[in-house]
Amino acid sequence: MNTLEAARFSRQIGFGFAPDEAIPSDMIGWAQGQMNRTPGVQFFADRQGHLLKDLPDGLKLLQTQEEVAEALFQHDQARLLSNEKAKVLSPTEAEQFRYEQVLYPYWRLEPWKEVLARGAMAVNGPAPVFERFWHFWTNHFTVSPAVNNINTAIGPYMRMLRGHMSGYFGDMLREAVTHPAMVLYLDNARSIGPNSPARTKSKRKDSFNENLGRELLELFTLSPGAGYTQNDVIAAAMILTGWGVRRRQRNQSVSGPFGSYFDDNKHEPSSQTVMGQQYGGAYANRDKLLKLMDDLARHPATARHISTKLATAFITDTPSPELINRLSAVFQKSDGHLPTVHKAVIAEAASAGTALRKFSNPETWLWTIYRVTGAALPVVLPQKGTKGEKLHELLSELGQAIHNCPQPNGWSLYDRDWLSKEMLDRRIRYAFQFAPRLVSQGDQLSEVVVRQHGEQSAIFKTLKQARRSPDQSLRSLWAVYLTSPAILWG
Amino acid sequence: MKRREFIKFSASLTLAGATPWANSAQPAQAKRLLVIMLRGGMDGLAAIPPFADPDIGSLRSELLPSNLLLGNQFFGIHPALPTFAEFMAAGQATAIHATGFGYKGRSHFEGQDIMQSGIMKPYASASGWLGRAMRAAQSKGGVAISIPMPLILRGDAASETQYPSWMQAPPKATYELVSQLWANVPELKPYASRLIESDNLRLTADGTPEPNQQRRTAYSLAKEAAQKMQLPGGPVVGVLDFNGFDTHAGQGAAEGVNATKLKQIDDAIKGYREGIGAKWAQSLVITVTEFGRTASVNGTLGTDHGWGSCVLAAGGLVKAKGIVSQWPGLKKSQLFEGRDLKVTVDALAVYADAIQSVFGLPPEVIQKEVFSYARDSFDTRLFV
Repeated sequence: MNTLEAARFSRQIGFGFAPDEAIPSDMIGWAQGQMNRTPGVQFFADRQGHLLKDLPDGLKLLQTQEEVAEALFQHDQARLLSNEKAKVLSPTEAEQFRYEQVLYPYWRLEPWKEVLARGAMAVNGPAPVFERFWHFWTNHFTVSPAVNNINTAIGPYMRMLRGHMSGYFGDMLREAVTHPAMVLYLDNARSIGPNSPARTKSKRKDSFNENLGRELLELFTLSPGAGYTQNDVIAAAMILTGWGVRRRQRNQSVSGPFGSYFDDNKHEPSSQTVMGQQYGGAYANRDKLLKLMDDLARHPATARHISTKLATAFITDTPSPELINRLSAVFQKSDGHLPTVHKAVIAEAASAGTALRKFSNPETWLWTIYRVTGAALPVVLPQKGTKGEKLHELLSELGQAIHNCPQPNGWSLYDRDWLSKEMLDRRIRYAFQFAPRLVSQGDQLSEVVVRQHGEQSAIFKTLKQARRSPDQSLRSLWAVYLTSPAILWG
Repeated sequence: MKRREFIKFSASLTLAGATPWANSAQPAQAKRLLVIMLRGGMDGLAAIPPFADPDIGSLRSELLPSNLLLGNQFFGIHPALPTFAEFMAAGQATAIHATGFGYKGRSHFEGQDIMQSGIMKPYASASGWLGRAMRAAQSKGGVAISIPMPLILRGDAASETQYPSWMQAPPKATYELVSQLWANVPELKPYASRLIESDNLRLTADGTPEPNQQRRTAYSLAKEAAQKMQLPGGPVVGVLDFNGFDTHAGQGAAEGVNATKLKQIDDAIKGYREGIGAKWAQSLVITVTEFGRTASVNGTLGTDHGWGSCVLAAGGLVKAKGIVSQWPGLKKSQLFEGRDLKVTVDALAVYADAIQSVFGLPPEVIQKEVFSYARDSFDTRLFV
């Protein structure tokens, strides 16, 4: 690849090269080299490793299960207290209390801080290609706080997925499905086996639901084409009964355990059959799910499903059967070793060249325009009345609220779903809003465009000609560049 | 009431006799259609509960509100749908019950693809049934009240999307240069010529941007859509896209998660009614969902994915009175696979009738150009 091809390739599988970033001669090696280990998430302010300033005191990413447990507990407590206060305070005071104690810390600060960190890694982190694959996996195993109050668990959950990217799909699957964020999101925490001790002893009426069982087969592993039946879904749901969370109790002074938690008492004891395979008997109740997930992770339909999704996300909306076969073979042969699979995707993307390209979704586009221009990420607290950009709200405005995906199938991987007048218009509006900070840094437009696309490119020629027009300000030209086909397609 | 009597009763509520197909009094373009998509699988048995069915109590007493609004002697209306109930009492709304698609797979995502494409094979179509109906009727320019373009409206290149935004638009010169670059790219060309339009931003009296939260309620979204649709030459079709009907746990009865979702439908009907003005008489508002939910309450006080649901319709174009159904019954033997409300009316037949009403397309054309459906689903027209 020459320099311009390299610059383009870096936009396809990363976020483009920053103005101060050297363009490597071995692009495939550069990209594949990022797949072996998981970089830690930090609030990087630049590519020299400095961290963002002006972060509020004490702001940090929750890491350990104890920290998550404590935060979830505090969130619950704040919510209960806020409900109590609503009974005694005036409506205005009660609303103020709710805002300060519940809305601000958990519904605004949590997603803001996580999206800021995600942006910092994409824009200023050492491994942008790794970040793109991370975005793929957080989307594959989507959780959102819509139904249950799990805001504080989402960031740590996504970073857990990240950790498994240097390991095996099966391990990622196992931890994702049993993670507190997931069992709460897809209602499994309440699912109890109809013949479980917990139910038969107390004659309680509640029992199981199919939500997580179905999505385990449909979204996370096999996909419907594998031909599983309603009975398989129910069997998977039964195998999942008892997997929930143990939250810290109100009367405990110390955080209780919080994490993958199996309650034998709530588990459906008999054996179940999924896709012709029996689970139970020799296995302990707890191990039934782990065995099921091992089998699902190794199922050829899962390899095909994941390979199809990866090819669609990084290479083309319509991957050929040959491409899917090649990636599936790598997936199966490596037993779902993700660095190996990711490297194969990178090699396929490189060999496809410019024939196959992807239209960037709003998130990829947003981080790309920051990275290629070298603009600083905005640190504006998501407080009421503060002016300026809050990145999580901005992504929502662009049509992709990363921490609030509407459905468990995640954001679309297809170009066509990101093409609508409203969506495109919002990118133009944002680019125009974003441009003044580039103008204030001096005139670097030509430099950036030449570096990314060359002097012979259509975009460079168009912008050069337009500069002579009195109607076009430098701000306007930046907005035009950032929404040009050259940037919209990676 | 016995089943046979009941069917007779409901049939008597609809007008007998055939109406000339493509010969309505209004020119087709004057009519308006608002489609409300309900993603997640709307629980038809909760929205329009058959309270007189002898089996409903044992299946789902936990999910039945005690304060149902009156539908008829057999069906009630959920208390979160008061506007809908009022329109029904006034002869301007109907519910068609035990409706659904030929698809029985219980996957949200396949189901949501099918409910929009009208093609019974998942992910097989790049266009939606509304888009194709508009194309067949040579009726251009629908509007989806959402940021992405939903599949249902694809197929008509002139359709647009809009959604309240706080971002200010750049000057015309910027749009012009963007358009110039986009015009050479096939994927962007359709948008290039349409970029320079009125600002989406809406200001309050003191000149500050109106908060999005207020503009993004179901009521406001529907009202803004209606205000656009009521203009002469305005969009013929509107689409609202609501999600969150997937109530696996803690669904609630008179109140709760599901009631909140149903209230959105009611608010949308109310907002549309207020925004559309005199065109209400030539309007149809209709719901679409991917499937219904299990007849029985599940173990976590919710319901799992099922099959049959119901379609709610309101507006001056509604002809069928009350609740229309060929009720399949709720005994275990009458349920689909022993668990879901059976589908006795092809939902596509209901939408075909809506297409015929709004666009004046005869069934033969709909079968050929839009989708294939069970024409014998009901014997009278539901809509004028």
